[in-house]
Amino acid sequence: MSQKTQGSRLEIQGVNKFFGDFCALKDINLTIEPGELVCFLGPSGCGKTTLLRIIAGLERQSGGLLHQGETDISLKPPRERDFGIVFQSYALFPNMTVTDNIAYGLRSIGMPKAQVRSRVDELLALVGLEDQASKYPAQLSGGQQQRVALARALAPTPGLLLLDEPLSALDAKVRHHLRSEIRSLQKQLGVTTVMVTHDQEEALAMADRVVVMNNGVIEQVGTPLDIYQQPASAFVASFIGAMNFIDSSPLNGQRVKIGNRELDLIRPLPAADGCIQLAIRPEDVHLLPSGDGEWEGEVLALDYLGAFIRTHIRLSDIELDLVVDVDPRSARRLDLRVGGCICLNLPSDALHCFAA
Amino acid sequence: MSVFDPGKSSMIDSPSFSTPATRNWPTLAELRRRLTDRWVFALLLVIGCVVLTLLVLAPLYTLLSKSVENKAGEFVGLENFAHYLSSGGIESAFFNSLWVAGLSTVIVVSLAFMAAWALTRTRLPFTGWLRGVLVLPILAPSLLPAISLVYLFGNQGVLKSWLFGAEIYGPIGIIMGSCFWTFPHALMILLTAMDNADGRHYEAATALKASPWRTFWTVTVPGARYGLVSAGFVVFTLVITDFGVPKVIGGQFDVLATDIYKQVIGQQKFEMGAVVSVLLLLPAMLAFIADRYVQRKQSASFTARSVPYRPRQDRMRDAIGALMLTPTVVFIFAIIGMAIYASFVTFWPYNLQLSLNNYQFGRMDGGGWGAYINSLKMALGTMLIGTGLVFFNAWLMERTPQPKLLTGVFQFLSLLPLAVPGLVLGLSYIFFFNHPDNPINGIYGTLFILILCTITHFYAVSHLTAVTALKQLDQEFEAVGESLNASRWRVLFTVTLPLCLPAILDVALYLFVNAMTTVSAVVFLYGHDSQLASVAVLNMDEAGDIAPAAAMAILITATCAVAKLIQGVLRFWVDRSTRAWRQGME
Amino acid sequence: MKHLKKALALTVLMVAVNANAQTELTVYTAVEAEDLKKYAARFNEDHPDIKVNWVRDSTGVITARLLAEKDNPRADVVWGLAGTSLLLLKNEGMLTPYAPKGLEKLSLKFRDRDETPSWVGMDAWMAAVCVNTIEAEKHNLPMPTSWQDLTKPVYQGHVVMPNPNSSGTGFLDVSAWLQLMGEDKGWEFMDGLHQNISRYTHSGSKPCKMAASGETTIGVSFAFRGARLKEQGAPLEVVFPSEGLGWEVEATAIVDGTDKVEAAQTLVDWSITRQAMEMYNEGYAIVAMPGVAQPVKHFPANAEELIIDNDFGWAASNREAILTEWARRYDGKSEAK
Repeated sequence: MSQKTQGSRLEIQGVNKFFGDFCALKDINLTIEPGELVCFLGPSGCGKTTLLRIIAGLERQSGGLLHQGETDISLKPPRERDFGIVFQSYALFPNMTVTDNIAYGLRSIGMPKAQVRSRVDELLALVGLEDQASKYPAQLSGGQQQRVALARALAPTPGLLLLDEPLSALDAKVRHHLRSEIRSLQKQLGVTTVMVTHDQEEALAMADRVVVMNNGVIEQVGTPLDIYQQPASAFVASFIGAMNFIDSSPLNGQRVKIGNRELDLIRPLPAADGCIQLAIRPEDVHLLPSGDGEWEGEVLALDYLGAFIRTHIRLSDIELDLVVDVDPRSARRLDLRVGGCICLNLPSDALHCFAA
Repeated sequence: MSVFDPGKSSMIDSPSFSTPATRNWPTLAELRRRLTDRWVFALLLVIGCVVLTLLVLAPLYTLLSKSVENKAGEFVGLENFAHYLSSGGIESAFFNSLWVAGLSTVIVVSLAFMAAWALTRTRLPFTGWLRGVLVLPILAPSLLPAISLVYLFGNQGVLKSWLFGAEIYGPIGIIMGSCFWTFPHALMILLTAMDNADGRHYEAATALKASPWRTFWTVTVPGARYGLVSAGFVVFTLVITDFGVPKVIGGQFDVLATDIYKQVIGQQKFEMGAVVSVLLLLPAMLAFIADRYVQRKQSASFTARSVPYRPRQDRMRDAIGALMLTPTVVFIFAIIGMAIYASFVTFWPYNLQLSLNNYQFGRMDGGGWGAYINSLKMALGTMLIGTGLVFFNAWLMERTPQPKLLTGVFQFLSLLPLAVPGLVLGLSYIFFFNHPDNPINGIYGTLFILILCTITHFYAVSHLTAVTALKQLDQEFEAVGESLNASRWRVLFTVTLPLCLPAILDVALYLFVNAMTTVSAVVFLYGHDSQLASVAVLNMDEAGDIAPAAAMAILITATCAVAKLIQGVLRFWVDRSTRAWRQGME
Repeated sequence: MKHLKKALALTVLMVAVNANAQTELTVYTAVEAEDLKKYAARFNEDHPDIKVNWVRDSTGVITARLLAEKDNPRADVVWGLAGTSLLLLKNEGMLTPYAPKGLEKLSLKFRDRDETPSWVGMDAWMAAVCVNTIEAEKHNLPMPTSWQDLTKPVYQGHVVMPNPNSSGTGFLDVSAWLQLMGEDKGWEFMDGLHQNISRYTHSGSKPCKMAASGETTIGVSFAFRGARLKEQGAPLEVVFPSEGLGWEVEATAIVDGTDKVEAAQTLVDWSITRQAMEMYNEGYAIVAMPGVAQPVKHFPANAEELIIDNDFGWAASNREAILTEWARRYDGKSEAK
């Protein structure tokens, strides 16, 4: 049997979901390409799990269509869809050994015994659990259980793999390790994968594309780099990574006003009548020795975070607090001290602007 | 669109379904596969509701509707209620019922909580045996404690002086008798609630320097609060609807349940009996609603991350635990021991010579060994059919996709029998199942109707046990199964049933034991060839053959104890053969 | 030896019976369970082709059951149920009137007065007072001989009687006192008695059982139970108060709607034969056919003279009013003293 499976394409068109009056999902449109790993990312209650369950057929959408490959699966019950799923709890069958768990789906479709055995061995090797085959789930560690769940989901070679917060029950070290393991496994098998997570780091690290969701709508779809560097909305900007927000009012052309200063922007202004929010990542702010920059401020606090120092600065003339990340060497050069004065520039190519 | 269009089931989701209908007629193979679609499960649960309606609601209606009819069957509105309420004595019966049930509830729940605490939070030895002893009362027919109480505390009783001149006949006797037979119910609920303690909470309390006393009030009690509420509700309902104990030992102390007896058995006034039944349903319903309200807020506090609590060595605490168990254990032993003694005595209290004569049931009235065999058959039938029915319905409700409304209706129907006195249920069954227009009236008078009636009578607690067990399983098993091309049926047989085996054994034993001991409902339903041992106990006692009655009661108790032993062995066997995969689960 | 013969005869009968096509009759009864085998066996000596299937319970339960089954009766015959209950069933139209062979030999008191009676009597079941001799001695109580005796202060707290609202026996007593003494005097008597009652029970045989086991000294109950308990070795004196005793007829009737009319009639015919009467007489001092009764152990020889001229019609039509009045006076207060 070939290791490489042909992942299927998934197309979601205008999907809605209501729970009574509550709108959990609103007009979701999304296409997932074969072999892609897509993360649904968002705060709890944003609708990401509901969307995953609709893809699986565990929930029925209130409206809209789903296509997997050429097939319309909108109304198909879960059994007639082609997917494997791993839940946060793994839902391993506690009364069955690792082997029986993995073989479960194969036996459902009536695969001959010998074939089942060789497929199970194949998967055990794939997830590195050859020596645990006859143990019960309760005798395994969390990480091992996770791998069994993964192997079980992959056993029938599904065209689509669904992962519902697969790593959140594990401790940090195991989580980091499994992250890359799952990713490489997924690439190796070429199975189209949808993963739900609330952990942005996980999403950025693993996904080909990230779907950021909030309040039942998709805020942005893009590569991790896109999402981080070109956030499409203030929500995305704030949810992914750290971000400073600065209120400003638009003037003519590309000019905006902050406090009593004016600033030229490179990016086009959003069409907004009132206030405009400028946003800048902490690492994009330029710190300069006192007297050298456009803005002056006082250092309020310094957090030493290992590779960099998070500096809290109050801009003196507009009463605004900014967070700036500085590498330790620059910090020494600038002689950063709590209570000390500092100057800074806001490079216009790093300034994002959103309608307020 | 065909009837089998799965799109139909979207009705239960939302009205705004907007997918174009572009499907053809399904093929036969497709049809078969769609049998597992959600509407099939909804349909099955609808059937479950219909079955319970036939077993509970419809019979009850035939009797309770008489409360608004006169003797001739004409509708008279609330006239009967007005008449009953104005006849006097009702206030006292109603008030008596409430306070006796209330006080019994407080005593039983306190004792059961102390016992459960001692069994789960100390390191006392022999807890397995103690658990066995503490559930003994559930194995005994209700007349057994009545006989024992009279022999212990009656006018000729060996411990009469302990009552300081008060009489056992009356509220004291009712409360003692009720406490005896309801104690195991409360204990089982509380043990379920307290067995799975999260050790981390205790560690946190210790870390915060809480005294054992403070830990008890801030960790142990709150952890068991839902169990306490449930136990209280069950005990209150059981006591207030029971007429066996008050009838035998209550003297002229009036309670609502004996009022039904007076109206129906004493005076053959069904319409007035129905009136009292309706009144009796009120407090039971209130307790039911209150319990549901509290339980709604319950969420599992014992999660996959919990660490099972292991009590540390503490002699002082163990001594307190032993002290808390002692009165209950002594009381239970005293009652059962007295009944055993009574069964050997030639003629209490004037001829205390011991003999085995009372065990020669063939010579006694009440059906003798034949009745005992009938009881065994009936209990086995109830156990097999009942366990299957209860578990299947609970599975449909908990583990298949169901419209909320339907599960609500089903839950109500399942718990309703708890609030119905056996006497009312039995009479209802005559009116309903013996009706000439009822197509299945052929089952009337057979062993089968006794089985149906008994299953119904004890449905609620069995249902709760099954639901609790099913709820504890990972909610996603079926979803995983579907993704692996396994139907819910396959998941049921390969995963759910094996995991629920202990609970299934519990339900089976519960039904068997209650079928062996029940009297109140079946007394109206047995036929000439289906007399029961429990009824024979009552008849022998009625005829003055107290010792043979005690002997038969002991025989029933012993049979139930054997059943319990068999169940214990089976559970032990199940536990042992599944130890590997249970590691870390408990 | 006698037992053996009987058993043998029974076995032979059974075999014979099984050879024939049998008619099975469902018979509802409140007769003592231990007597049922005897009744059926004696009947089968003459009619081996009819099998009697008993359904037995206490009077109240059987009556309630019969009434509840009204729309679809299950019993073919009622053999051994209180006359009051049968009156109730008759008024509900549940009995088929039938004049059995030999009806004219029955005393008028022991049959439905209709020309074609709905029920025919077997025997009488009479009130009595059970007194525990050991307890009486212990408490220094004199042996009562009349109902009036029971109102004497010396018996305070020593008397137990059935609640007429729950028990037919209780009602039998109350209705007899009202008939014996007249309404006013009757209630006055019960007021007095009430002072001495320690408790009312729900069952008619319970007071006598309590007396037998020393739970009370005096139990107002019925004679049959007292005699049985005494026979079992209870230290009882069965007292028959001198004013007269309430009584109740035990009777037989055909349930309307039976499809085995012929067999049912055969059974009812047999139930009033001399043979049957002699059988009843083994446990009851008074039977429906005059001149048959022989004295029975623990019963007075002149039992027939002791019973009052019970007006069942009056008792039935006034039952509701009497019970309401009784409940008003004595119910709902748990402390009787």
